[in-house]
Amino acid sequence: MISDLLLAVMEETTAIADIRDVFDRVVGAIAEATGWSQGRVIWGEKAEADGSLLFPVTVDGQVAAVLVFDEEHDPPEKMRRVMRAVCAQLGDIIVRQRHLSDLDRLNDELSRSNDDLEQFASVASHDLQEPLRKVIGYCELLQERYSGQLDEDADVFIGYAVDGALRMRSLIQDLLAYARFGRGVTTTEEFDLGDLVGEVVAELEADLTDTGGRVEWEDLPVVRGDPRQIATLLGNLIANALKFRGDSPAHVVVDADVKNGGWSLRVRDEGIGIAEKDHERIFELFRRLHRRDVIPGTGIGLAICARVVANHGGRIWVESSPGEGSTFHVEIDTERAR
Amino acid sequence: MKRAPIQILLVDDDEADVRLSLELLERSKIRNDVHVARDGEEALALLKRDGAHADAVRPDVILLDLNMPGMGGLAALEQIKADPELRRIPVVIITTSDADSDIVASYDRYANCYITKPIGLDQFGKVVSAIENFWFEIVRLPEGEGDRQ
Repeated sequence: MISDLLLAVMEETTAIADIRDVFDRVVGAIAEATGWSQGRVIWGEKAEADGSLLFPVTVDGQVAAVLVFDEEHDPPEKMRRVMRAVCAQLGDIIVRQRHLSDLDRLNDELSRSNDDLEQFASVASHDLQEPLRKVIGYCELLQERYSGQLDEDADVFIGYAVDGALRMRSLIQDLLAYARFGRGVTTTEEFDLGDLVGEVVAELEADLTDTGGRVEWEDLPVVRGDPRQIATLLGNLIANALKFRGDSPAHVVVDADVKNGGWSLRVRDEGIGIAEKDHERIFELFRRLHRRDVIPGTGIGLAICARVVANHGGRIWVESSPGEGSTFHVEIDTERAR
Repeated sequence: MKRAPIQILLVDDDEADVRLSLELLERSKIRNDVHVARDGEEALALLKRDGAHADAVRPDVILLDLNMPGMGGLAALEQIKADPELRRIPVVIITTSDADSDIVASYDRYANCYITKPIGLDQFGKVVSAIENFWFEIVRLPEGEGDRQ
């Protein structure tokens, strides 16, 4: 009877857009069922409730609101029990509403923070490039004009300066690229993974021919996600497989399957492999494991892969040991793509 | 018959960038003379041969930066393309920005083309060669322009 009414009211208010509205309606339902009059809600713990029948709603031991009625007769104990249960339910509703509103606020803050970071990365990168142009340009001019004319040390010094500046430029460009992946997925559509891998491999054609490497894939499914971001993910993973091939030509195998609510992808190579202690570090920004003159690169590839995967609400990890090649696993949960 | 050197008007307020450009233009295989204006106002004064610039040479091409104090690149571009005597001169925007908004704004004001300032002598050299090859070997410019024979 009352419980039915209350259940109906509470179920109606899953959105809890206006909690006061909910409480008013509950009070109305109670008044109707009991015949008590002047049902009203007083909010806040310092409320001065001047009715004859008071039912407090507490949250974490503090009074958040009081349901007030005017009624001469004391209600029976059974009724009081029911009212205590009702107030407990109302307390839960208040808690839930607070959580939702915290969540909204945190999401907003996170979103603003992400925007700020992106803007910072973008502005910093552009503004950093301008003086860098001058450093690189004039160091190179110095190299050209004065090489062999000053002492040997001068040539070496200028060489290091130019190298440093060029490397800084790579880092800035990579930072810009990384920042661009901060926004979550821009589109979500169905696309043929096999076709996408084909396009990515076509772009790496030159490297593959130069190094005699080959990439294999077969029967890849149609999947859901942001195709451009996934293309970048694939490009980075395959390019890495080529780069870290060791002494023999690269042999890379890509395979994937669709599962409940998502899909998974594996990129396997027979290259130099990665020690267990580094399996997590490699996904850090600008993290490199090898000497710069032995293997080039700024260390951004896997960090970007991690970003893309995070944007799709998925996971990425590696299975590998030194000398035994590596398999990079990606699992995408399409429900959780941002 | 020896060809007269190409007259280039370089508009850029940044001294270091100007010097870099001058160094590279000097090594080009196509003979050229470079005149420099430090902002939009000076560029227009030179182009219109105002006052002190009465003897200014009319350029065959204008290399125009966007980010300048006072009259910036876009404003100067608008005025150049609005002037019937000046609008035929190819204007090559060369600037640090690669922002879509700047690119669109430049083409909207009839810039002939838009180039982002290259980094490194190699890149810069290639861009300069490309500009010269395109605008002075491949492309036909109106006859009787400026002071070239």
